[in-house]
Amino acid sequence: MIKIDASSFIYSIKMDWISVLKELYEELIITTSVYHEVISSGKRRGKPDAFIGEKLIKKHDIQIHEREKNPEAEMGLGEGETDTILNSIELNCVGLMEDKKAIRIAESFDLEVLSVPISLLHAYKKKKINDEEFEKFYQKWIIVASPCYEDIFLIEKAKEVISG
Amino acid sequence: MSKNLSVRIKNNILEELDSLADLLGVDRASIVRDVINKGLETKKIDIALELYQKGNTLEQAANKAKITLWDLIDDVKKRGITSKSDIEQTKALIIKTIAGDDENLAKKISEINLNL
Repeated sequence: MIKIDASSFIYSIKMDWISVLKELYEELIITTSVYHEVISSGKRRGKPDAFIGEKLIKKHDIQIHEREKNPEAEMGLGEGETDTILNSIELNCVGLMEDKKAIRIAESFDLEVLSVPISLLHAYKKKKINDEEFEKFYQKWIIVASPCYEDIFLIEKAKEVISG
Repeated sequence: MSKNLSVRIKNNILEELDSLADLLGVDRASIVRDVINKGLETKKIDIALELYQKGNTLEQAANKAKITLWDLIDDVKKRGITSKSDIEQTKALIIKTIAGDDENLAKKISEINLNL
């Protein structure tokens, strides 16, 4: 089971990564705030990937969890990130998020956290994707997420270490 | 509901607006409204990017500037801004997730040299 925040969800949709995430973690969950931020807002702005995302929610049976707004839960993050962290605490499940600040806050709650590139390495290690597929998704991640050079280099080197 | 707004504009800008209005066969007010609407969107994205570079998360910056996360992600890419990185944090997450109890693999990942 994995809880996906808004940025990770957008990157995963753009990279066609959702089906591998489903195979890897079985249960994919987003909160209603992430749904509104990614799907509703995206559709209103005419973003084609938001329409694709809506179809993927149905196709891969992504669960949408309702969270009541809690004004005391101000974490200095976006609404979707805050809800993802709080819901991950409630469900005691892994959170998928990209921002280093959000990851740091999630870890302060002893949550297990991943980001999209780490899920890429995880899928490769678990043999859910082969070398060729890894390369394809790795390239897509670079295009979609605009990572800094150090991150690109680290993921590439970590993959080399895993492949032995 | 719309309201009136009086703004002083330099002559050359006014001439440009009138010239565009003539080209499109619309009145000056329509062109001014269009320019303001487009400028407002651009300004919101500029503000969101500034907030992001000052330490807000992408989502937080988009929420505050009242733009969609999709637009902000697209503009980060368009303007060649790279994501903020914390290499030690990423390395630690890789070790925890990928290496698990495999001490040898954890050691190899921790030894990845990032001196580019």
